Amino acid sequence: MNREEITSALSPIFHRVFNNNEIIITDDLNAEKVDQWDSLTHLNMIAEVEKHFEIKFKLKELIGMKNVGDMIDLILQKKGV
Amino acid sequence: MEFLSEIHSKIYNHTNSVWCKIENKEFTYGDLKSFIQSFTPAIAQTSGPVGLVIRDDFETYASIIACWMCGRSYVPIQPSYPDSRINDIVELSEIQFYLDSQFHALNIVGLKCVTPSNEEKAIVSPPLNNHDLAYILFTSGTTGKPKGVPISFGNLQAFIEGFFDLGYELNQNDKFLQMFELTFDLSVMSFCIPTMLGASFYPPSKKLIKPLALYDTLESEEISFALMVPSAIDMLSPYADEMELPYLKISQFCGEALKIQQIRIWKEVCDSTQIDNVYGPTEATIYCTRYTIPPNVEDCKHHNGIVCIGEPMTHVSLGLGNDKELYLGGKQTTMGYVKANPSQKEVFFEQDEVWYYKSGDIGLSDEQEYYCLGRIDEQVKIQGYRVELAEIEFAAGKVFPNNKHKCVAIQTTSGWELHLVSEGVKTGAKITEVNSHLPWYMHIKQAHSLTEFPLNANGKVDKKQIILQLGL
Repeated sequence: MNREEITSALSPIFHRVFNNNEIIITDDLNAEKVDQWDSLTHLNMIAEVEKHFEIKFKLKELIGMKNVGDMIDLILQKKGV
Repeated sequence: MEFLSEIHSKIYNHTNSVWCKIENKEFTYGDLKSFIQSFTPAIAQTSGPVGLVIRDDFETYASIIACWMCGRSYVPIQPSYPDSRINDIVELSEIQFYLDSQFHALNIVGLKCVTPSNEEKAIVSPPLNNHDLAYILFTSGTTGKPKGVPISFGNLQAFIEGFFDLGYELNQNDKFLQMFELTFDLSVMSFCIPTMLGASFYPPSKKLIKPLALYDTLESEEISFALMVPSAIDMLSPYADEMELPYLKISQFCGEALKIQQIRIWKEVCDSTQIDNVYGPTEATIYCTRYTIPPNVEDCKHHNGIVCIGEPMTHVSLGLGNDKELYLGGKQTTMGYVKANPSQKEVFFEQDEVWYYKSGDIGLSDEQEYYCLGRIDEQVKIQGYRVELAEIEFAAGKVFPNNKHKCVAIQTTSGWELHLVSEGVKTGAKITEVNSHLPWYMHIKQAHSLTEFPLNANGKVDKKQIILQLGL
């Protein structure tokens, strides 16, 4: 699994959770850039990502996560890539 | 005013202590002192309540203390609110001057922004009487206009005396959480009590998603006293087993019904914390009753899983009306709404020389302690904010005057959701247009349509039937 594969898997998850098909996944994407991205949808998105990749983020990791790039790094790390 | 003298002495005697830490930057009582000294001459020249544009920075908090040190009240103005709502607030509270750390011009004719002077002037805490106002907060009203709740220095002094009578062991080393928007009166306790103690307060970062910022602050700042809304527990519950908060001595919950299930989760997170359920609307100043959860959660008093609200604080008298409505009286109760209309005046009354507010909450008493069972009228609480459904219907009527609209609130696992239902149209109203007239917490989730509203036996629109017909 590489960054590109993760990015393309994240795309439909983001479209569904934030109910917005125009979101383009980039490393610097964060809550400030998406209107529908609030506390609740953030937690929904995290839950969906955890389910899809069969991983679990730690609370400390979620606190340190500043954008989608950080999340992709963590997914790679957890998948042992 | 005693509490102001206390704050005054802390400003002068604790200059090197941390007053607050905002977005990772610490500000001392000395910083607070210089800020107030540079603004006092300008604020003293103004008249009436002072508008305060909420920026959540050091200057915004310091402006509140500066207003008080000049014997003036503040009226928080959230810049993200629609212009029409800001206009209503300015008009109702008769604001002529405002403070804004970013010195942005508000789009309101005749309003002047207060700027600091070059010379600093020593702070003299002013002579005040109990009726002078400390702040005016606006809550949702049924007529489409927000309702202004004026709280006097006397009301606030009574709350503070009641707070210290609750018997917490607190001192200048305590660290307080401040998680509330400044338009919300629970914020007043969260910055005012630490300031009186010469202690410090910590607002969670705005750069992180809410529950994460909340936990990060509680843990990394070693918070010892936290006033929170119960939904904070729900937000953090998926991570309960990873959390550890050994420094948290006191957890107070307010703003919504506290459920016994939530306490069980919180006890797992911080076994040693004292958990207090506090209750009260803005009209009775911050909160006015307290119940301490016993060490064994299973001994906790509750009614259908909703935790008891306990006993009234020192200066508070509680009563129950014939229809079980909770009456809140005493020195903490506001004198009445600003520019109140006749129906807004009806919710206050005097009995045996005690001034009461009819809370609209349904209460129950077991002779010792009280329980709050919910609302009598059409009001729901969304993230601690009171929302009158009628205000949303009013906003929808302004945008789409040719139709009748009803707003229904649906309880979901993540809280209340607001749905707008319009009569006699093929499709539901455009919600973005209606939402643009409302603050964020009153935003409609979805719009629906019905050919005709169902009516109940009294000929009134039957909202329960609407919900059933739409399958919500």
